[in-house]
Amino acid sequence: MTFGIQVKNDNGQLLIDSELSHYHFIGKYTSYNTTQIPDLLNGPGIVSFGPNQNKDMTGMPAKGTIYKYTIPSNGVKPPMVFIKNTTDNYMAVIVTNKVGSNWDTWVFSSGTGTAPTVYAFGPRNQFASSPSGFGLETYNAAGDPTFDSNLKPLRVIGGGNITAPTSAHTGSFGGVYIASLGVNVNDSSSTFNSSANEDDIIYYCPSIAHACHQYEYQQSDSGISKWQSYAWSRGDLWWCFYRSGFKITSGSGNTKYLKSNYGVYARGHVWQHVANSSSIFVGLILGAITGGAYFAIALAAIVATGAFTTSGVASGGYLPYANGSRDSSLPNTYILTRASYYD
Amino acid sequence: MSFGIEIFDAVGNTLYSSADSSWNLIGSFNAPANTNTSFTCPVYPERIVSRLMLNQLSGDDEAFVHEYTLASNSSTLYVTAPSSTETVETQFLVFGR
Repeated sequence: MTFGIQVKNDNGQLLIDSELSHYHFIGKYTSYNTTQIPDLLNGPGIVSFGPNQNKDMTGMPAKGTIYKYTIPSNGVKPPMVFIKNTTDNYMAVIVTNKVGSNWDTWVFSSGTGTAPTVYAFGPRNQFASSPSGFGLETYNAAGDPTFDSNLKPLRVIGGGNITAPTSAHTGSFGGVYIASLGVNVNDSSSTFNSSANEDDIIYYCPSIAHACHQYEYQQSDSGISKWQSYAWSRGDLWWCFYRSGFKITSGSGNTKYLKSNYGVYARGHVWQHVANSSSIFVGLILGAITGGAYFAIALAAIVATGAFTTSGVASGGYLPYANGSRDSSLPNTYILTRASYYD
Repeated sequence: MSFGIEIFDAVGNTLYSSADSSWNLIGSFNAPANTNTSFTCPVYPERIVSRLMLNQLSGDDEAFVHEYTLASNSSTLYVTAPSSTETVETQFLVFGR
């Protein structure tokens, strides 16, 4: 090192380096909006022949909640958003999107209830304020501020890796006209030690894993009833789109756990049901739904209601793939600090 | 405290203490969507790498996140896009101790 400052501990580990862009406390934020992905529900009502039950969301698992925050940090580096999760729900950042000089950040919770407070940190050179000229400030070779003791530098108390469960649901996906798509897998868990109260520990661990499951069912029949020929066919597609989240729990002594599991991010049920003297539809309906013909019509009808706009979310089918998961085998790195350092 | 550094505010509150900083941020990089690339970060005895999906709003994306390789004693973080069309822009934060 020919210039600048480095601070090391007794093990020679580097703690402060003027060439590294340290993150500092931007602020503590409450959500400006709470929403959910609207139910994707569409299909014909009562039809004269065939079963008419469950043309709704009966039996489907409850959706989680999206909490939205806006974090000022004017630059290409998104803020580190730590979640103070004092509930039993799994929570994680699922969307980070730059809007002007702010970062729009969405936290997904597997349940409902009060929005969590988030604590945001960002690099010094993305703060609106200029260095004050006192305290300990460091600059890199380009003259950009990299550490500023006046802005509460991030104090990391722990970290590690956790991997989400392989998928959100195992076993049967349903029977006849009732889907069974609730999250039923065990938590995955990572153990750490801290003397801090679990409610004081806040975590940075963005969600990367997601999963989709769907259940399909079709019935059809034809014959003669009351001296009249009939034919009907009904096909249904139910699905859930899940996102992973996290929570902290306590064990004995100073043992703590970061646990991961999924919540239902979006859910849908699209069906087609026809009664016709011809049996031409028999066997075709479910394929047309899963193949996209009826699905596209249903989605267009939902978009036309304005449900997505009202909810403040992007329109879409929220069925990006059939049964499976993405990124669920990849480790999530988590970083821990204490809310009380910044309250 | 017999070693390290502590910084206090004007009323004596600790603003920073080397005693509780177990991990330090040593690199922050954004990998463009659908692209393989690499970044340079300092070598530490132990490093962990955090990923964050960026600018991903649509529920119809398959949304793969970049994968990475960071070998011990290597200063190169290799990141790869598992899908050439569905890998989102990813921020990598590298922490060392």
